[in-house]
Amino acid sequence: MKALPPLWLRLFWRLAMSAAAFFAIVSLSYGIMRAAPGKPYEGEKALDSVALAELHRKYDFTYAEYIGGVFLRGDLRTSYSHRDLPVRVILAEALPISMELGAYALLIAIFSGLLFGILAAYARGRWFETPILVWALIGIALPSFVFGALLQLVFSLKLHVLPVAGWHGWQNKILPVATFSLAYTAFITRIARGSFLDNLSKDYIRTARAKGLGPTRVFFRHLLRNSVLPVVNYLAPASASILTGTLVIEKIFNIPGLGRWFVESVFQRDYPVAMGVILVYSAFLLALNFLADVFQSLIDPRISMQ
Amino acid sequence: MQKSSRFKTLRRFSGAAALGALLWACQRHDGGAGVLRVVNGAEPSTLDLHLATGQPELRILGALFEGLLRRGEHPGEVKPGVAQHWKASADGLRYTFHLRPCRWSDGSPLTAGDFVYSWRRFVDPITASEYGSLLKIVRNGNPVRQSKMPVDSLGIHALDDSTVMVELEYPVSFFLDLCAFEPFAPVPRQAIERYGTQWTEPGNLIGNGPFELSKWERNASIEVKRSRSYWDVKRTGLSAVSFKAVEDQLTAFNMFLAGEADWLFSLPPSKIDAAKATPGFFTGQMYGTYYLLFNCANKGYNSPLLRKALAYAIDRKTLTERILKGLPKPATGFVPPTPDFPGAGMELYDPTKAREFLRASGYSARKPPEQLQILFNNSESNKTIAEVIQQMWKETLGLEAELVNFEWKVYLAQTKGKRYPSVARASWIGDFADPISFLELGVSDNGNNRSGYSNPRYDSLIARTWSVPDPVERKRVMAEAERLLMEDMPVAPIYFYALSELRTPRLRHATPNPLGMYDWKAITLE
Repeated sequence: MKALPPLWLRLFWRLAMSAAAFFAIVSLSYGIMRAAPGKPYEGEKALDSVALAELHRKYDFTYAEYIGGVFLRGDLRTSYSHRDLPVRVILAEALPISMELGAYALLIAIFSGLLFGILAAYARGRWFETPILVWALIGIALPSFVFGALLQLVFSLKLHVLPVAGWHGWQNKILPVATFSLAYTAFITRIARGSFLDNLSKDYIRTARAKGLGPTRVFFRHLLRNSVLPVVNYLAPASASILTGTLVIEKIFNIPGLGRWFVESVFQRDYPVAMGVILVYSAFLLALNFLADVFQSLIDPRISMQ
Repeated sequence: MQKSSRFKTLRRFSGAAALGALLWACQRHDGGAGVLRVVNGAEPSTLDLHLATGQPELRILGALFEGLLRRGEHPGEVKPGVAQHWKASADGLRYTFHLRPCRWSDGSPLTAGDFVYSWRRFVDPITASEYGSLLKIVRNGNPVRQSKMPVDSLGIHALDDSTVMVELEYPVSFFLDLCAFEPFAPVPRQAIERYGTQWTEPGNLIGNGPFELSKWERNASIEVKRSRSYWDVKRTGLSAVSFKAVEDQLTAFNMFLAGEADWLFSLPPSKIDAAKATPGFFTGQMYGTYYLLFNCANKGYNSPLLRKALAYAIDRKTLTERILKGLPKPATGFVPPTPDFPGAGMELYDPTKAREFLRASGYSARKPPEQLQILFNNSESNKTIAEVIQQMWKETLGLEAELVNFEWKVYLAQTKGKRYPSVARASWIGDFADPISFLELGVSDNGNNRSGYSNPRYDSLIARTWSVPDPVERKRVMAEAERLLMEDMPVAPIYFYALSELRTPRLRHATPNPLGMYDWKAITLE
């Protein structure tokens, strides 16, 4: 059997690949965005040619200027449609809000998803298996704008206990977090259930039990470690999208997060803002995928980082 | 035993929770004394007077700044603003404004020089203001805008610290109305020179209006509070206004129902019936027209006969009453109802005439015009309207139209570049209450003429409206131009826009001006 290269080398190789992917994503997004029809300074009213020329002179940039600015000076430029607002400021204001919303939703999804998944796996054939599975199915099938509106109707308009929209106090955060976490909880429930069921029937669990280990020990020492891998696999890319903003939730609950900026900037052809959001999103995605790989190889040494 | 005690705990807990919820629900239903919470639509793109274009921006700017004049509640009426009184020369080419002693919100005095600085910045091509072209009515405005003359040759002068003199290119009868339009208010030179492009941020922004900026949370809200340095502070009715940036109309509607907002300026189409049944519903006139553009350069559509056939086949009454819930009024011309202006006053639906025009144009159901389609920008109501018109054309003329929708920027590129094959939806909201703000769109070389319509007679009529000193004669010329426009039909007007709002019953003195905008100073909460 061929020996694997040392860990540091594998890590370095994986990092280099991530950096290349990052560069490729940024370049591709730039190209696609510039190719989209419609012009950034195009408003409803006609602008005189002199004023338009002035805008081009002041704000236009080439690919090389953009890449150079970002990677050499950390300059993300300023928004077109919110003229002269630095993209750095937009990200600094909106990202923490999206991350807060996402972090709550993610925590709830991981805990309740794993809990329900494990319960459903152990409950095979018992009466509470069906409600959990039905709930998970609803969670996946029900679009968040429907579930969000339903929660608003019940808790804000009928019971008057929680506000409809905003992001100020903890009261404002309950409904959006509940809405956002629903689908992810459902996914994790299903993945965890499948994985646990699969492992429960494996020989090593039977052996562990036959050795006389108690159920708690079997669960924590053997089952959990192996069954949680698919969930980790799913969580890496999912976390990136959870933590960087969601248009639907942000719109229904009027949350000033990054998702709204992204969609608006794409529709407005506000290249600097859209590129800024893409930069953040891809950095998150790549970093989390990298972390997931490291984490996986720690949990299961058979998985090499290649 | 155990069960009953657990039950007691549960009961106690639910009792406490309900009480807490009730207390909390009560406290959050109030914005505080004199604080008005309005849903202002999209997040304002800027608070720079010269760069702002949309209603959400202009609404806030109307609270933060004050121009030489203020708009009155009645059509065409202006009230003193920074200018205490003013005088026009006999030929209508020169206006002298006498300013009252007043201050910026930082306490510094506001002088005639501030207006000169502001209007020069407004017209300067470097500022790249969309509204900057309005200053072409001021002497040398056009050459300055084209960079052919320096900005200081613009016809505005500070005779002394409290006197502004404006020279006009033409005797413009709506000039005073423009002086009350937000972009004509003064911008703070001291803040712009100190903070550059960041002068509109809270802490940097200095205004001269009845309110001052206190907070700006992007995509959430902009808060303004009563300005102590405003000259007429005693008559500012509200202590603060919170302009909430809520784009989703349904969310805004729910916020109103839950008592989290006091005033909505637009309603989701699906909730209009429900809103109409509530006492807070308000409707009024808005200075805007929804219409169809015909691409006059293309084969078939270059004939007024085909354009008129299509225009006369649209049953506007059915469309506005059945589909748009009776709020907008069927269009009877291109210019929305304007005080002292007769308007075309035409019945634009006549199926018999429509069929005659079609026959005369040489087209028929068997020989349809090429590429008949309605291009529109993505929106539920645009889609519904296009579908209804498509059906009406089919029933009355036997013509099949294709519906094509694009997202906003692509739609703009298609219509501005006149790249649509036949028909596109469009709308126009007047910036000042004068028919010329609509009629100008038909002038051959107007940048906003998206039909490609060109008629020298029409151009000369519009040119005349700028030079006729007599207002009555001017209106007669404009009416003639509108009739000519309807004769050539490069645009088919569909309906005149209407305001549809929901307001708290505590709101007082909120009367819209003819443009559908409000005077924040006058508004009070009971």
